[in-house]
Amino acid sequence: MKIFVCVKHVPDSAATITVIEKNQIDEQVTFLINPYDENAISAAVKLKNQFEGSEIIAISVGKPKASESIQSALAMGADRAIHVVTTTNVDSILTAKALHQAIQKDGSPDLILMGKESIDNEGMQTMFRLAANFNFPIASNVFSLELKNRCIFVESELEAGKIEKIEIDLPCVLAVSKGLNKPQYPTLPQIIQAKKKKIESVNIDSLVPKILKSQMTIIELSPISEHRKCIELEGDIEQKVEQLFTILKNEAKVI
Amino acid sequence: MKKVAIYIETEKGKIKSGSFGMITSIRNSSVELYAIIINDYSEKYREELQLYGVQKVLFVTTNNGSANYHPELWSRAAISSLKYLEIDTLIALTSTKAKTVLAMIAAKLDAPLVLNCLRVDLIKNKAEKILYSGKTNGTILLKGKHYIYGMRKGNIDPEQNPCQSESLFFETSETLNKNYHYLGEKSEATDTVDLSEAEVIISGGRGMENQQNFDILKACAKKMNASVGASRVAVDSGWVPYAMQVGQTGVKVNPKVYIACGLSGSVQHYAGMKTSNIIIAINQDPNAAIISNCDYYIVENLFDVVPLLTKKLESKI
Repeated sequence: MKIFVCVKHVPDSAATITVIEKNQIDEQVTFLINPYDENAISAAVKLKNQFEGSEIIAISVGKPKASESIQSALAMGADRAIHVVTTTNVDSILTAKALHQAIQKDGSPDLILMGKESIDNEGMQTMFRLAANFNFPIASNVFSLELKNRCIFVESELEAGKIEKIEIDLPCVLAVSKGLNKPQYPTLPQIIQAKKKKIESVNIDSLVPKILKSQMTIIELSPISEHRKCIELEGDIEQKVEQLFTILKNEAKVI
Repeated sequence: MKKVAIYIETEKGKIKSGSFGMITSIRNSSVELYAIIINDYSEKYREELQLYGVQKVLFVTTNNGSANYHPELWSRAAISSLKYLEIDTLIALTSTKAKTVLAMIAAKLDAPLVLNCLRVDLIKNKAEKILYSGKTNGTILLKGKHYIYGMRKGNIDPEQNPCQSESLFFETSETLNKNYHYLGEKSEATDTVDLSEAEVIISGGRGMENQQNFDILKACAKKMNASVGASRVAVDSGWVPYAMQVGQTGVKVNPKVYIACGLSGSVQHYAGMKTSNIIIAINQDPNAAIISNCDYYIVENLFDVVPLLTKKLESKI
């Protein structure tokens, strides 16, 4: 089975984000592999252990520095990787087209996995676009999957404790959520070994015609400032609860 | 006048809560609003929607109308409806189901899509949303033959603006691939309100100490129709299920009031709840990060405060 796992290199959620040139961020902060993509790799490793002879290929569309997240994917168990190199930010339409071309050039995928969203842009759509490009079925928010006879039984999270069940044939695209597994972080030998694994670099221009431009462009970014009042409720405990009750009733009007 | 389609979700004979707030936030004098409702006909829907300024309601019947919700089928039927109405702009509420339908539509049309929008400019095709883990507000310009938006839940309260409305009917038949079988949905028993739609959330962190203690929060939540959330520590410790995790990699919430109990308030947790109108912290530690990032705080043991609050809610309602 040929399993592709799409990963994205994103700013650490704890990083301080500074806006520069009106619509960009200062990229001199810690970047790492998108957290949900780690769940996708772990799922791929589990499937590889179940189905002998499977291969896991990590693939990322990103700037040269995205190779760091590709290394993480290799250390977590991907066998080799493809890096589609870009110099500018591209939207999810172009990303999906580039992923589609690169994966198709590499061979026929049986399964394409990725995280259900990236924590930087939270676009939540690349997986659907990739699936449409391949004309593959897709399920997102996947927290449980079971593969039998080239058919995957999937459970997806909806709201309020509701779940949906889908039966989906290979080849397909699955976007996974945190609830699927607990990623095992690589050991030092795995990290060292990963450095010997092959990363193929492809320029995005060789995959997507240059004439195609992003259809979703961030034209302005502004930092969100916090204006919290930080008022301490004082007095004895009864008085504090009384004030809390008053806030809920009169200010928030929720009770 | 520009025509805009709104995809309306219905469940058990009701329009999904949050839909009217969404309509309130997008309506303006230069657009004409068309609602699209798939395989669920009721004049009651039209009457409700017209109170909020929706002029036309298109009742779509697909595959003889018998079909239950199916994301592939729904997305195809919505595309056919847009074509029939000759409308290029589609808006829905960013609910879990609608966001799948919207993404499927956008993928099929190669159309730009922005989910969780705070505001949209339907004339200039611009959308505002939060980017980079809750740290920046971004304006995105959409270009293409279609424009698709998902509005974030709970942006603004619904406000009526009645108009005259009309029902339209459209029948379509869509072919589905055989490699995808939607088997339907199942509801796990829950006695609390959906986190992403809750007006009030009471959350517990490390200070909860164990699974049983969450019953204290649940009891309090019940008295004010609130939902119970948790920090990643509480989830990773196995005290509560992942579905209750609020944060960057959990549920992102937007309530009127967020009460954080024994919860330090990491950057990642904050990213999931920072858009709350009022944040209240109950923490023994006056140096907890949440204290410097909230509106009101009580420095006390949560096990003393929460039961007292529950009692107070009981007696005063």
